Amino acid sequence: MKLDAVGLEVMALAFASIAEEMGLVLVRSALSPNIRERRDCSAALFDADGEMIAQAAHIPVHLGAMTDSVAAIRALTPAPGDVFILNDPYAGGSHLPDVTLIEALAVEGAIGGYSAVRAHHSDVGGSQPGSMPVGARTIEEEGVILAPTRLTPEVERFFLAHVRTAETRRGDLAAQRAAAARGGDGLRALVTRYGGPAVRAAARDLIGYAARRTRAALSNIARTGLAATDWLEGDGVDEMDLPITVRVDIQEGVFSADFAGTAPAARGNVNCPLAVTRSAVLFVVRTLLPDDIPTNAGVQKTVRVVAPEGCLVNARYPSAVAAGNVETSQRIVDTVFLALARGGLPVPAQGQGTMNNVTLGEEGRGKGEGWTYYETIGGGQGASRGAAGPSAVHVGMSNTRNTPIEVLEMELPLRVRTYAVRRDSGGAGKWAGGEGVIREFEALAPMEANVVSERRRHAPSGAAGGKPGAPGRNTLNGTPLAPKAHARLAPGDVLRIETPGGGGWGEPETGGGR
Amino acid sequence: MRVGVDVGGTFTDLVALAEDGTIEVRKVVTTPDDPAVGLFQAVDGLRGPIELLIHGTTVATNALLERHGARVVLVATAGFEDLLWLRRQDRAALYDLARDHPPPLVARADVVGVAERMGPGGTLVPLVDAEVERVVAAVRALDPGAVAVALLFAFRHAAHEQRLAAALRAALHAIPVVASHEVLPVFREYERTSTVTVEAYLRPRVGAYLARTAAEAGRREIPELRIMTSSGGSLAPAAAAVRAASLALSGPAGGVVGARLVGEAVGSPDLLTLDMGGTSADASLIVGGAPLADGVGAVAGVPLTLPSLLIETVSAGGGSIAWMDDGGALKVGPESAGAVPGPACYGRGGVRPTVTDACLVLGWLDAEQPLAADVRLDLVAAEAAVATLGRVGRRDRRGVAAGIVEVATAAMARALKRVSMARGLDPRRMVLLPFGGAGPLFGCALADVLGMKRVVIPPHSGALSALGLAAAAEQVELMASFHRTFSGLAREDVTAAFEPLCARAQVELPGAVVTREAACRFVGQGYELTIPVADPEPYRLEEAFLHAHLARYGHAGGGQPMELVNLRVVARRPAPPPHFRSQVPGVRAPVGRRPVTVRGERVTADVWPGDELATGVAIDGPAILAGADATALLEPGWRGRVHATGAVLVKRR
Repeated sequence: MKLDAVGLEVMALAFASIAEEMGLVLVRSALSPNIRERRDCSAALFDADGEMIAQAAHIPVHLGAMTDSVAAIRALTPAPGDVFILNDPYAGGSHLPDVTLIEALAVEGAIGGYSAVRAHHSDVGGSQPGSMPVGARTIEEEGVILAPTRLTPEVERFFLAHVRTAETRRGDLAAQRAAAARGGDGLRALVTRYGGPAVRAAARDLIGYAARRTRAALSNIARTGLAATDWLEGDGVDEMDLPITVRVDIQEGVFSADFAGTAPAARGNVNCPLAVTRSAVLFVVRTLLPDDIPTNAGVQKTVRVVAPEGCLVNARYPSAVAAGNVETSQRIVDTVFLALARGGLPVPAQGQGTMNNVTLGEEGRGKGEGWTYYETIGGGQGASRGAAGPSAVHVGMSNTRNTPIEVLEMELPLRVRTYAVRRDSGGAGKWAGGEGVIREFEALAPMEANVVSERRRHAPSGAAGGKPGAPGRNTLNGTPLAPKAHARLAPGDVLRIETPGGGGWGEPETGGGR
Repeated sequence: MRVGVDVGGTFTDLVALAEDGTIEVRKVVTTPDDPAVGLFQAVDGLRGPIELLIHGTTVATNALLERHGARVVLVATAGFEDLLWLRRQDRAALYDLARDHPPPLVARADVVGVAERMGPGGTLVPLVDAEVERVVAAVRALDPGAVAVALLFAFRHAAHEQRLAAALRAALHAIPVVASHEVLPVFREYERTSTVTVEAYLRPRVGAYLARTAAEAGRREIPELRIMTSSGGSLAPAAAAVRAASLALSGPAGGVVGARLVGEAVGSPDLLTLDMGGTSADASLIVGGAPLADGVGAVAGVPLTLPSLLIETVSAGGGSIAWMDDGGALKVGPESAGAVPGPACYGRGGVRPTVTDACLVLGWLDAEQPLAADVRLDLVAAEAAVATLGRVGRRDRRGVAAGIVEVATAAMARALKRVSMARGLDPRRMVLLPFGGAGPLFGCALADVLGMKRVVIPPHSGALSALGLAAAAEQVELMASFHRTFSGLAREDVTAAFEPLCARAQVELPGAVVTREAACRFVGQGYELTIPVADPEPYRLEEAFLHAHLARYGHAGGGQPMELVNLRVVARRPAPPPHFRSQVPGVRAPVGRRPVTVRGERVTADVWPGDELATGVAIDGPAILAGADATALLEPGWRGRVHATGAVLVKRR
């Protein structure tokens, strides 16, 4: 069967609707705010061969990332209706807090496809609450590792025994299971309506359609030997800069990224498995494509990513990886964009390239007395050809919302002294880069402060002659802090975060820009 | 008689409910330069005295869409002047890195910072007299059309806002000054600042329009004029003029009220409604006989968090344009031909094919029947527009038109599923109520895709919004911040907190029925659920909240502590429901047959006069129910039965 113009769009909408429904079931019924409100989760539908048909990604860091997860459980000879769980970054996962559930969908007595649901759990054990320990050197310190396995009551009990907030975890897992089941309902309804062979053929056609359109788009920008190196500013253990190097070739409708020359594994937890690197490259490709191309295996097939075994962006056991997902993925995006810009492609300049992670809190003496507050702060987006970069937004692989000042001050011993656009931090250009943000916290009680940030030494680059954005700056009572820092705050201490501006695009003209 | 007038993008609809139960419908072409002209054209055609005129207006919506409100000066806490530009820091589009949010309604140079600061417990930086004077002078120097005052924590500690607003009002005389605690006294500084800015931006224009309309009504000796608000109640013009931002969904709210009344009359309390006219489509949900009041979030890209019925504009509607992408797929929308130029078949200069054009090509609409006095459907223009898509596989022109309709249906179904699933409602357990001029054409097809078994085609479906307006209650809503956890809360605390609100409600709407509502959440949760407060006993409220949360989100928190964050009081003077009834004796047999294309097949459909059906008549698809202001399509395999109200209850055969 071959879908015509109408069939393509009708089936694309039908599959997208199933993935979207799975995502809604998850977000609606999860217990923890990280899934419900920050939407650090995603859902996808796969065909019986493990090819992705549709994905509801709420944040880009999960883009196309579950294909490896489905491949990992298909190696376990699934039976129709089996449900699997995994979080092992070295077997289909990304970092340990991202727990993935996969159901082999029973359709007419056989496996008709797979539904996969990934959610960031706010604790999966390990040495520190939150399971993102700064300074971790091995993955064991980061939490409990689940290699791909069938989700039995025993496995669930094992998992819950190793995490700090078992009840919330149980609720979140139930939400994931319900979301995966919803994918099965949706696929079966589609088969009832159109018939199994037609639905299978439609999935293949849609994957072919996305591949065709992606190849066509990439053929228009064919180019080889585009290279760039960018820097990660320390790994939480050492202060040293770590190079990420990429060579990009776009030919015959395929986007290849080779990370030869990238730093070896870091001692701290900024490493990332190749699946995360691939998601970052896929994000860049996705921004080059028209919005209406469905995100499915057809797009993924046009992207090839290689990296030396065991390096920073192709981590091997037992490297620690928790922050790789958060900050290294951003730098991979930046490096690939830089390579494209240097090769003369009209891509946007680099954005702030960091999430400016701020964690404040205090361990309680008794149960329920402690508190933590985690915030990521927006900054400048890089300018594009034809448009100034948006100011004060999350860029790249993240897109979560802020905590209102009034909420923060009512609930925690903190005061926000200023929250402002950071003027003149966007790089000049024919189109100026977006401006960063200033957020200044005053401690009203003793507390621990952890800041994990990037782009404090290496500014976001401009493109096509545009000027770089201003690097970010963190200070404690006016004294500069390292990009990744820990401090003990006393009442009255002031922590100020100035986030980077985006790079400008094109030579600045007098009177031009924003 | 009670009269409702809904001014839409293309048509102005009027419904008059007479004492004897008769329902009269009129339709005129909207006069966009001054909507009141069309409004009174419709009104002037009525015979008999009008007791009450309720108006659904787009004046606020259009001012936001077209950005022609007042020049607003925003007065904000020093150090936080950029709140409107910081938004909530999420970007406008995940992958289109060049796309930005629409700019705020205020120019950055028109923000005046004030040295003052309130915290959760009260004053942190006092507001001194010299600063008040300085701010007043700075605002005056900017020569504003309206002033918005939005200070941190004013929802709880309003003293600084009150002093500044009073000083500004004394100095600026006729210029409207709006303070955030007056408009939206609840927490979350960005949303409150944005909302008070919208109010200031709209107030001069909305005020002038309402004053003019009231004067016109007075000249015609219409004793009472009311304006519909986004929350489904109506207000006197003077009250509405100081709630300009509450009028953003004035017309669509009338449609939801009308749909609820029809649902009640036919015994269907759980409805998924879709209002589809010539240019757009709006979805809403009615659960247990009550419309969901989730608020809108944003109008025309501007965040606005006032109480409102849930109304989601669906990305595909009658005006959505069909196009071929460069990978060989047929797309419909999101671009719309809107009211101007409108679908090609309206003959107003549109040349690109829209969903409405496709319906005409398929024979679903009848070119012989004018939509209103001076709008005739042009079949040739519709066919020419569809032909611009070129060859689409092996499809002929009707095949292409069928494709447009099929894609539009899939897109609408996806949006309807999203609207309901996001609120924990499964469309398969609800009844679909399509209305508007074009909605009933898509009822069967949408129900099929969504797995719904029943469709209600309402009487007067083309004018249901105007009908809802005519039957709308008078309603005032008041809010206050509370923010206390349930532990240690006593019944008296809750009662006392509600008292000033209830007293104010009685002043604003004497004799009204006053109900109390509480917005509650789990501590730290980013959203609230509003529950009715029948009994202010805190443990009762906790129970009610847990129950509502379970129904809505599938769980009851697993022992997390809860808090009561906002109080809301609704004062309401209900209106008598309209007397829906079918025609007597009414038509019992089709009046004609005509070829139509359904699901790509050419079939002959019975044609029934949609407004004159006799109670109890069974209608088998394929059938066209052609009414004066709306057309319904019963697809093959569906059977309708005419209810005593004139509604047609449609089921799979």
